[in-house]
Formats: sequence, structure tokens, C-alpha cells
Amino acid sequence: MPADSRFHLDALREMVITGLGQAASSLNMMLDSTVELDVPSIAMLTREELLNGRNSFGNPHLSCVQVAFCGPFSGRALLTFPPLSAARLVAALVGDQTHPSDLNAVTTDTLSEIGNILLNCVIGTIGNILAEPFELSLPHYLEGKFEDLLQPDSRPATPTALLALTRFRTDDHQIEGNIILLVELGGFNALLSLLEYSHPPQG
Amino acid sequence: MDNLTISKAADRFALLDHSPIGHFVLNRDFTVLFWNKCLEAWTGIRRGQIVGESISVRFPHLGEEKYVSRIKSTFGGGPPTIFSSQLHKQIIPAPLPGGKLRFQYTIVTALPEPANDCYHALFSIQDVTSLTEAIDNNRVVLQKALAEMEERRKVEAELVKYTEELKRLNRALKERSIRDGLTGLFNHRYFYYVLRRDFLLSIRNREDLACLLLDLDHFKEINDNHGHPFGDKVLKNVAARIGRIVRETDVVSRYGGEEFAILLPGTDLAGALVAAEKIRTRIGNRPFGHDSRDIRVTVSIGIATCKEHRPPKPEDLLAFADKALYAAKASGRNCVVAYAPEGGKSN
Repeated sequence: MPADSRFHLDALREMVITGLGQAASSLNMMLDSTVELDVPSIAMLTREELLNGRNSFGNPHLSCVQVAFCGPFSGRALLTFPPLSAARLVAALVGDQTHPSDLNAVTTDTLSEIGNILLNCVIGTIGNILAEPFELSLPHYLEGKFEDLLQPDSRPATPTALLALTRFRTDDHQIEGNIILLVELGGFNALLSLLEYSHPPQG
Repeated sequence: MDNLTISKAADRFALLDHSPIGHFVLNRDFTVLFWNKCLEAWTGIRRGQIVGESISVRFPHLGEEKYVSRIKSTFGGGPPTIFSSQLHKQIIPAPLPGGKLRFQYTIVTALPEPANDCYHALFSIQDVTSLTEAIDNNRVVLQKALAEMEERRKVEAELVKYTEELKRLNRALKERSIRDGLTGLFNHRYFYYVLRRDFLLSIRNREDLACLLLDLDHFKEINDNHGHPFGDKVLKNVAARIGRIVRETDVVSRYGGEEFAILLPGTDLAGALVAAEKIRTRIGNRPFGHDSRDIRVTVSIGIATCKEHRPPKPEDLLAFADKALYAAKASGRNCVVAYAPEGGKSN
């Protein structure tokens, strides 16, 4: 990996972690249990690379909270889980372990709120650090195959993706999900130049 | 009211009075600017009573940091905020007839106020009580169905267990119906079945079949002199000794009181004589212990075979052997005699 890509990734990782830190404190304020959020890995991929690596998501069918963002660059932010993990996460956060495999209209609303907090914090932090605000849509909850979730519209623009594995740790559980930022064509260049402007590489 | 007067707000948001969703609008200082008809109906609080006062006066929980921190970003034009029914239950507690509170799903969005270059917070509260209850009811039905399935599975497993047990008992019963209780040998009835089967097989396979009838000599005296328990012991021992001599394919049965019948498939007269002689000596030469005394027991054996004596029917093979046994008894006992139409040939 070229040195500048590594620099960009490190800077992005720092932003995502900062955003998730805020999200975790927001979640913890609401919940009785404690949630820790961390990012074990982060990668920049083309959509094709993302699709080729979809098997590593462990499940062809995914639960997904999606937010559209618009600002210095535009795109969509996705928080994805295998459905069973999503149900377990909600059960752990709500403190109701009686139906940990149950995903329904009420639990998906809860997932929407979790996605809302997480994705708002992550995009908000990127906006704050770049000093460029973003507008965010309401979160939408969707379920489907990974490739369908990536392509709900047929716009020809091929976005580049930022994939961050996100780990939720509660008192008794460890649940992994993914944050995916799909950035419209050219968006990443804007992001990278903004990064260099706000975070000049050392040396 | 720095941003929007209350009367202007009533005009501006009048449309929201027609919405079946609970709506209220907060100013950046958390005072209520607007309160729609739906919320009036849910809470019994009239718009005129609540506008102008801080939302936390009547709903103190909304003054807690966990709400304030997320709501206040809205006043800066921040992204929409969601409060789900599972994590918050009620943003605005609204009792239903019967006292239960409505489950609520709330979205807070920033409403721009262009005149003052600021934002208000619009709360939209969806009543998800019926949805929540329908899901809970479904869950109850599902749990019940699963419990019934589990119960059925258990019953089926029990049934399988009982069927297995029944099969085992049937096997035991069948075994018992073909065995003699004292010696464990096949009984008279089963012997007839095997006799018929092996007789037909021998014809089809063009093989010989030998039948030995064996009777303990003076068994009545043994019983009378030493008691029935000893007599039973002798019978058991004789059965065991025969069992050790014959082949696995041979069939040994207790034919009568002290009479044994043995079928030797694929055995000709010469072979049958050898086997019979072996049995006779194995029993006659080794006494049976009783009260530190040795009691000698001898046997007489009659033999008939298919190829030598050509019995037309299975019963005839047995009858020929019986005749030979009679001849053995007549010629002094403790001997083996093969059937001979004119009288018999001692061995």
C-alpha cells in the first residue's frame, strides 16, 4: 500500500473511531448496559472489490440501516449486520434476552435508532474535522442481499467505498457489524484532498 | 419568543393539526412553540396550556442529558434523530383507555427558520402500540405453536421408545415360545418347524439330513433316587454337553421329558453315527456329581437319515429315528442304533 494511502486510512480510521466513541457515550447514556465500540480494521475499496469480498460478510442476507449524506462529497452510509447478530444486538441493548433471534418491525426500529446514532456521529465527526458540514437523511432500515443493498438505484456513478469493521462489545456479548461509506464518483478525491488539507502527512 | 411568535407558529404549523401523528415543535431553549391536535387528544393537554413553557415542566425526563444532548444538535441544523419505542417507550406519555401507555416511535428533525437563520426541532411521534401488541401476540402464538411442536416431538419420541420396547418384548416372547424353559434348547413345537424346513431344503439341495433321537436311560429312577432337582440338573448338563459337540448349523431340541431330538443337516449316516457316538460317550463316561457322589447317566440314541432310509415325509424321518431308539432301548440301552426296516443295526 502506498505511504499516502496508509496515511489516508489512518486519518479516516481516527475519524471513524472518534465518531464511534461519541456514539458509544450517547448509547451508554441511554442504556443500562455498557457498550464499547471499536474498529479493528478499515479499508478503501472499489465497489467491485467490495462485492468480490462479500463472502467475508458471512451471510448473503443482511440487515442494514442506511443514511444518505450530502456535503463536500455525497453518498450513502450503511451499517450492516447478519440478521441474527442484529437481533442479538437489539436484545443486548434493550436488555431483553428472551427473544434474541427475533427481528421484527419494532426491533428494526430500534436498529434504526442505533444506526441513526452511529452513522450521525461518524459522518458528523468527519464533517467537524474537515470543517465541512454534511446533511443527513433519515435512516432507512433494509434487508436484502449485499449486492442489492449496494445498488438500490441504477445510477452509473461507481462510488468508492470505505469499509470499517465495527465491533460492539456489551457486558456479555461481542457483536460485529460493518460500517460502509459509499461515496459517489470523485467524492473520495474531495475527501482525500480535504484530509491532506486538515491533516497534512508528517515528513 | 426570539425566533417565532406562538401565534405565528400556530399559523405556520396548522397543517400538522390534520396529521394522525403526534407533532410538537421546540424552540432552541426547549420551550414548546407548537402542540398539535393529535397530541392534545393523546395527552389531554391543550395547546394553549403548554406552548410557551419548557417541555421539561410537564415531561421532566426530556430535560435529562440523554435527551438534551441528542435534541440540541437539531437546533444547529443537525441530522434527524430517532427515539425508538424499545429504547424509550414513551417520549410523551399518552395513556390509552385502561391506563396502558402508547408505544411511540419518534423522529426529531431540524426545521429551518429562514427569517432568523436558525432551526427549530420538529418532533413526529408515531403510535406503534398496535404494531407492538400484534408482534407480542404473534410471539405468544408462535411460542404456543413451538411448545405444541415440542410436546408432539416428545410424544413421538416416547412412541418410538415404546415401539422399540414392544419389538424387544415381542422378540423375547417369540424366543420364549420356541425355547424350553429348563434347558434353553428349542422346544418340541419349534423342532417340528425346523424338521419340515430342513427336510425340504435337503431335498432341494440334494443333501442328506440326519435325525437323532436321544433318551436318557432309567431317568425315572434317577429322579426317584436322587430327587427332581438333580434330575433337572442332569437334563441341563446333558443339553450343555450336546451343545458343545454339535455344529452351529445343527438343531438340538428337548423333544419330551428326558428325550432330545437333534437335526444334523448335510450329514450322512456315517457322520451321524460318529456324532451320536461322541454324544453317547461324552454323557456316559463322565458321571454327574451329586452330594459328593458320582452318578453315572447313560443314553440311548436312534438315528435315521434321508438318503439312507428315504422317508417320504419329514414326520417319517422322525418316526424312523424313534423306531431306531426303541431298538436301542430293546438291545440293552447305552448304545446308538440306526434305523433298519427289518430291525436295526447296533453300533
